[in-house]
Amino acid sequence: MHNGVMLKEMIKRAWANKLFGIATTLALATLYITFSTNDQLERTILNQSLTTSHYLSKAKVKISDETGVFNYQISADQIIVLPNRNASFVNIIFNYNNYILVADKADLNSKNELFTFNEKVNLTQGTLNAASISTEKLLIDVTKGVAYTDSLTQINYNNGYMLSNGLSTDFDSGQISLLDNIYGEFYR
Amino acid sequence: MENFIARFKSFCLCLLIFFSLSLASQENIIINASRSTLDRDSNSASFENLVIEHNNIMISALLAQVDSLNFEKNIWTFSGDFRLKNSSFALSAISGQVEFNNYSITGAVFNGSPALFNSESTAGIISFGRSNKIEFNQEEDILRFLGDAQVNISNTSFSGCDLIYDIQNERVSAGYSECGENIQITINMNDLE
Repeated sequence: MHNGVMLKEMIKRAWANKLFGIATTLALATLYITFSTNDQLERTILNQSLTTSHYLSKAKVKISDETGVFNYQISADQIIVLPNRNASFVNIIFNYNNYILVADKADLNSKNELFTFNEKVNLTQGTLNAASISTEKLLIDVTKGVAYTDSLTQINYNNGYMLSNGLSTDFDSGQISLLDNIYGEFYR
Repeated sequence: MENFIARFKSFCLCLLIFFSLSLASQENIIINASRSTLDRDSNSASFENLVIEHNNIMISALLAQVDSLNFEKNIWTFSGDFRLKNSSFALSAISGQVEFNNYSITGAVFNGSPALFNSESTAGIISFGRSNKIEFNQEEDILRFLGDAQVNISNTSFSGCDLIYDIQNERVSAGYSECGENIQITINMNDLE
């Protein structure tokens, strides 16, 4: 009987130690994730092999190509990155080769190639005073440097505007193609 | 009585707003097209199936190119079924140019074989003309017919290498180029009878 009580007590202590070890490991893991989130986010977008999920507020991300050259920068109020799935952005500011794009929402596909900007999308070129583009949906293929949409699009000039059902633009050549049903109004 | 005056004032105000809006939309330059390509660096643009409307003038063409979308001063180049029409006459050609200055059309050139002109005055006088090139000067309200030119006003036909047609007064005179041809005037007596 006495031996039986001793045995029970030993098992109890062993479990208590194990639980303490598990609790310590979990706490350290939480600390690691908390302090390394920004770094991990960058790697998550560059390298899809990570398996953790992230939710960030007020984040800034630089995204580079395979050679390490930074192609574009993103600032957003919220960024949600899920492993091997789309990354989502809220109130995004997207900087690409002198172009500045502001949108309420955006998604980046799992291959990091295609951005889909949604709701109040506004594209301007920093070096030009000529035109800005407003639409409700714009897709940017960052591997090809092209943007396109089939939504109603407005090109704003300081002396007027043009509307069209769809647009495609090449960031390198600076050419914008208005695709269908174009209406423009210019005034003094 | 006071009620009537208040209503009359409201009516006048509405009328004023309506006419102001009508005038504003007339002054605006309206563009319709099926497709366009804009160059962000140079601000130039090209259009397919373009129609421009401004101050009762309508311009259309299958293809158009403009050096800048700044209508303070720009030059449009048109090709394919190029037409200009206003309340008093119509011009057409295979290609040509239109110049805007200070948001108004100041001139146009029609190139073709031939470039064509026709009009019908309020008095019912029908005029038509043709030449290798027609220049329209909006400020002076004249048309200049250059190269193998012929202008018909009612029963009278004028031909030469350089003719100037005064649109307002419906008069034809010789141009000032030294092309070495006299004006020939032919009056169709049958029409007079």
